[in-house]
Amino acid sequence: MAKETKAAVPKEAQVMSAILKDMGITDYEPGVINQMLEFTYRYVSQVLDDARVFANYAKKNRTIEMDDVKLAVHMQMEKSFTTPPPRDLLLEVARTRNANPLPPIKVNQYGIRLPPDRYCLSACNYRIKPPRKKTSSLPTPLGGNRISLGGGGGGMKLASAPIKPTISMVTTKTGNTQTVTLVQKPATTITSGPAQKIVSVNRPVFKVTPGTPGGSTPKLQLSAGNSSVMMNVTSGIKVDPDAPTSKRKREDDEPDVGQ
Amino acid sequence: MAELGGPTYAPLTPANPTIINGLAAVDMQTGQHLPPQHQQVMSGGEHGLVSMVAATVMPPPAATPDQPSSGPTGAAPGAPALPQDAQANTVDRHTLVAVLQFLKNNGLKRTEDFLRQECNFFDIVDDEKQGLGGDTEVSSVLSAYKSEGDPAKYEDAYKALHSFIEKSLDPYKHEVAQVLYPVFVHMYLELVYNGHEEVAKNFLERLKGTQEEYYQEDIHRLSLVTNREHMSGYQIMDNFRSSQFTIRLSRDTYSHLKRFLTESGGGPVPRIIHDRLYLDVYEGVPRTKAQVMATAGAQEGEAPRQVNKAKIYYGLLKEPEIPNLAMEEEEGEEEGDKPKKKKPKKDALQKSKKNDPNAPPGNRIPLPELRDIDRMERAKAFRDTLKRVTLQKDTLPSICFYTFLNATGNITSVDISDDSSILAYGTSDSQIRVQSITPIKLRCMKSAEQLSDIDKEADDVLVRMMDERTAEPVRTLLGHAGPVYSVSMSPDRNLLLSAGEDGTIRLWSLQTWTCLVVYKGHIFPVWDVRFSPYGYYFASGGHDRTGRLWATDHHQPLRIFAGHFSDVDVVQFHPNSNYVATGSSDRSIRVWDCLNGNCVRVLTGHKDIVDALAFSPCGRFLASAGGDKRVLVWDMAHGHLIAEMASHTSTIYAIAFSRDCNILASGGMDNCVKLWDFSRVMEDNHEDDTNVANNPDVKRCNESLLLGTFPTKNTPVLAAHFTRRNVLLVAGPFDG
Repeated sequence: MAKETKAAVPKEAQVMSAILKDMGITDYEPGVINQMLEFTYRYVSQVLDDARVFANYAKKNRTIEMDDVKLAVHMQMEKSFTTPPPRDLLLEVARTRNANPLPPIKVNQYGIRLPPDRYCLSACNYRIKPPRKKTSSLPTPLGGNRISLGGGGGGMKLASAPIKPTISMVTTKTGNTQTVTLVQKPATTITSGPAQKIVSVNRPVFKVTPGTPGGSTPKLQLSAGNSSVMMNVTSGIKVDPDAPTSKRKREDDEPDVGQ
Repeated sequence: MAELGGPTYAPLTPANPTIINGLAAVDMQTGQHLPPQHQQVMSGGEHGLVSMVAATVMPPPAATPDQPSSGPTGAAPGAPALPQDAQANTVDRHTLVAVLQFLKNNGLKRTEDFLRQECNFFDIVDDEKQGLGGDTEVSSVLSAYKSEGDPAKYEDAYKALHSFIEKSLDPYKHEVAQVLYPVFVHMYLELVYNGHEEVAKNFLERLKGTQEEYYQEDIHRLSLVTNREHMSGYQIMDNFRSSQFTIRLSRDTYSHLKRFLTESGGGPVPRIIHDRLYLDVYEGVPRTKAQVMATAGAQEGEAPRQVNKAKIYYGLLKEPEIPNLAMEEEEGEEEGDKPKKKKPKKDALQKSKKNDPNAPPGNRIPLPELRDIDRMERAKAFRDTLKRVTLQKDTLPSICFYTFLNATGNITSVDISDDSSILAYGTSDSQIRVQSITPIKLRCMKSAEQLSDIDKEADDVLVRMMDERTAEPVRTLLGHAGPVYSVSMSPDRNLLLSAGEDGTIRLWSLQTWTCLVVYKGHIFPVWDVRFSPYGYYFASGGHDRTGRLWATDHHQPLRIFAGHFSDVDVVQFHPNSNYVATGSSDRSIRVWDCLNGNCVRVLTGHKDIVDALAFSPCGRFLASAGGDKRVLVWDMAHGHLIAEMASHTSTIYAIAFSRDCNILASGGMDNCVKLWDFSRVMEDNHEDDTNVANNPDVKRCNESLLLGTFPTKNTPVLAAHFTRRNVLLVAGPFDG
């Protein structure tokens, strides 16, 4: 191979390396040129596509003209290559913001000072409703643990291999209704991760059926109606397989769950 | 712009000759002098066309489309100062050409032809060559453009200016030389704006070599702008066009320059200097070259005198009384030779209790009250202080270097807590790791059930609430969506802040090891974040050119520090937490007041971006360092540069003051830690107390301040920190 002349570098690559040199960049991996070329291709084709759309919309003769391209470039700039706001705007915003005096610090407030809970990540980011009695809520029985996470309008079933989710449940039996609430323990391995908000009021049907009285892992089924609750189920959730007694009780009482 | 003239200008209305001949302001028809308001047309290019058009809209009623046929009744369109002879040579040729040019640009063909007829002037008037070298007033009338002029003349004008400066007397020379760069830039921009791309490129090529080194980067960025279309939205462009480059001149230099400008007549130079530069004139002796060089370098010139006049409270806040705790410890210590050492230190510490006139009142900004843990912390700190080693020229500190192995290119930021027990670092793959550098491991808080069991009234409840079983030396925090560019630990070691490329700042608890809050204000990468020395407040700076002051319990910033022309790369709190200093890519440092967000100091002098800032523990001095490989020391009282230390051979990323202000340590990409004698800088500064306001500054620039250089094998220094006992800790990743 040493005897052969160097493989001809395609023209575009030469142009790209010339551009890099012009910008003062001399030290780069060879793969950079390819990446830059791909980026260039994508950018240019996007601009031209947009320009064609504009030309089609505006004119009858449908040829792309300078103005179309200019507009397309402008749009692209605003979309992908945003720049920080101009200086006068910053000064204006700063002037407005700096006019407020520094808020006094609340005394006698111990512990870590945090913004209102809405802005923190410390909220519990999931909620579990006790299971419903109706069998119609059991579309698919058995067979491993299935958790379907409902998005707004398309149930996304995440059929995972038995992941043995575990949720620690606190069952409080008060009167007729039995509520199953989940307590999120602070120091467990549930990482809060990206904050997930509970939005819906329309509750998803979440059925927790403990497994057979043998202590096998219970099944969790969650089918979301029209809610947009996303449940962040990580492997850190623990379910205590309850004694059979509570199972019966749970099946007895079915809190009314809005469909 | 042409569009200004277009809509309101009826094509057949003859141009009122009096306007165009504003120089003479003589009404053609009546020969009377016109009221002077027409002369306003001369000022300001853009207004010129508008007022001219406005004035033209009220032409003499005789104007009709048949005008041209009315012949030489003086309403001859655009015939300036034209006696009936209509001889071209009695007409001011330049003006004529200018008028013809104007008519041509506005499509007034018939008028133009008629004028030519009248004047017997049939030469082609070319757009390019207007020959307006000496006729700025007409040009400013005609052009609502940024400028118009013979492109070829620009270079000559520049050269003329250059030679003038060369020939100037020495006292004036250096100050006037500062004018060259901004004039160069604006000339280039004008050429580009007016579409003379080739000329602009040549102009740049030929003359950029004559500019200073530290401007080359900006010039390079400017060279990418070759078209008017490129100009809008390009940040550095906007900086130059909207702000005024500031130059400080003494009165004598100013008159010297003014003389030249009036002598040289028109041309782009006087116009540019008048419009685009801000000449801050001061009374006094012109500065020497060294003084000029000291403060040159920032992107927008120097700081005008007015800016640095505000009073800064650079003293420290009054420390609250530390009760018996300190006393008890003292008795427990060894006696004998120890007591002698303790006393002088105690005296030194007691001194701070007297009222410092430069200290801000304690309630100037709200600060968190002292909790019991804080008091204990302070007592501990005090005890440590007693054991502190006083550093001097001959007692250099011990240096302990923490090297990260197998982390090439990965570690982006390092921070060591104030009591030197924990080290946190951020990586370019968005992880944050917290490491204990004492034998005490990092514990996690107990779970909620376990917490309800412990005795809350116990003295050591803070220890009990941590779970012993979870003790680990290193913990990882995950959550950022991009490289973490800065980490900062709170003084009480419970909280950690991190700032990343994803534009967010995250607050983490170092007790539960979870992320508590995400502060989204900067949308662009945040380059630095720092807790205040008292906790609760923190400051950040990022790519959006702002610095922001936040409090942990507000999800939006409390103050926005806007004013820099380029990214804010580093932020630092003053020890009394009332001021924040920001260093930027525009090579200047600004100090902001937390109380009202005003910029109280602008410090120029760096020749490259500022990467590190440190306030001295006494509060009076600010040390800064960065890409230009020097450490500069500023006196906060007046904003003067008092010392410059050059020895490093590469960018400096870390500087730290020793706890007693005697030693300054610096380290950077050249793999060295250098120690500087700061006590000498302070001594010399005291002698020069006369150095007030007006004129700069005695500046020290020598290597004699260097106390020692400590090279490492191949490890750049990312963080430097003096422990309370004056041991120097430095950290960096090994570039194996």
